[in-house]
Amino acid sequence: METSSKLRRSTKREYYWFSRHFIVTSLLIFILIWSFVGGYDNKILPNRNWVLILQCIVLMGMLFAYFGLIFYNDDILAPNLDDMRTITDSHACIVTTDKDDLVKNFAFKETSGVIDLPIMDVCDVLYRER
Amino acid sequence: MKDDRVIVRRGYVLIVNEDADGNYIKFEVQSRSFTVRKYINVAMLILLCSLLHRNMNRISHLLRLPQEYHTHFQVISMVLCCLVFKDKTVDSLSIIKNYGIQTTKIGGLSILPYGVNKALFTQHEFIPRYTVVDLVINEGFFKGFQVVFYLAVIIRDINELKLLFMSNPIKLDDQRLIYQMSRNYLCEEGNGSE
Repeated sequence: METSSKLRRSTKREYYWFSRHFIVTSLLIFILIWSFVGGYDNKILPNRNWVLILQCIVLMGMLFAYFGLIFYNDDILAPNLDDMRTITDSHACIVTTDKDDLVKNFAFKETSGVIDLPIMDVCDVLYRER
Repeated sequence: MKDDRVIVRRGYVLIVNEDADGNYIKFEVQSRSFTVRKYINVAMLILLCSLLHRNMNRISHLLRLPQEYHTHFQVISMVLCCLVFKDKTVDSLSIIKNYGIQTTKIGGLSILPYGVNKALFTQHEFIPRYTVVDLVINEGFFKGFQVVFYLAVIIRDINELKLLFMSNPIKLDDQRLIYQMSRNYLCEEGNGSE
C-alpha cells in the first residue's frame, strides 16, 4: 500500500523532473553556443560579453540575497527583547485548568497536539530553588 | 540591616542588600571598570579640549568664523564635549514586599562626581504590586546573531515587557539567583506564580 502510493507520487513528479532537466540542459547548450558563436560580426546572437555579464549578475545577486536575507531576518523580522511576542501571541494555545473549557475545546475536537505553556510556569520549573 | 552580599564576576559586580526583617531586597549591578572608565573619559576630555584650544586658529579659519565669536565657539564646543562623555549606567532593582518593584538607573556625565550624578541623573520607575504579573527569565534573539537570557517583568495591561539590568548584561547564574531571591518578596506564599 505504502510503496504503491510512493510509486504514484514518483511518476507524477517524473514529468516535472524531465522538463526541468530538459530546460536546464538546453539552457547550458545555448549558453555554450552563444559564448562560442556570438561576436561583433554575428547578427543572430548578441555580443558574447553579455554571457559573462549576466552570469556575474546572477552570481552576485545570489550572494546579496543570501546575506541580505540573513540580515533582514536578524534586524527587521526578529521582535525586540521587550516585545510581548517573545512570550506569547494571538496564535498561542495555552492550556487552561478550567474543566468545562478543556472539554469544550479539546475533548471532541482535533488539535494540532501542540500546546503552549505559560512562561511563568516554565521559569518556575527551570529556575526555582531545589 | 544585614551586611551587603557582594558577588564579583568578570565584567560586573552584583550587590545584594537584604532587609533583616524581610521587608525589602535590593539588587545593584555595576560595571567593574566603572571608575577606570570614568578616569579614562576625563583624560580623553582634557585631551580633546586642549587640542581644540591649540588648534582654534586653524578651525576658525576653516569655518570662516569672525574674530569676535571665537570665545563663544570655544565654550560651546567644550560644553558639547563634556556632554558626549558619559558614565556607564548603574542599574538597581528593589522589591518591597506587598508594595511593588522599583527600578533605578543612574547615568550621568563623566566630568561630574558620582554623588552629583546620583542626585541629578537618577531615573526611578515604580511598578505597583497589583500590576505586576510576574518576574521571569526570558530567552530572546539579540542583534548580532546571538541568543541571550534576560530578566523581565510582565506588567498587566501593558503590551511590553519591562527589561531589567539591560545596560549591564548579567549571567544566567546571577539571573537565577535574583529570580529565586525575589520570589519570596513577590509572592505571599513563596512558591509558584500568583
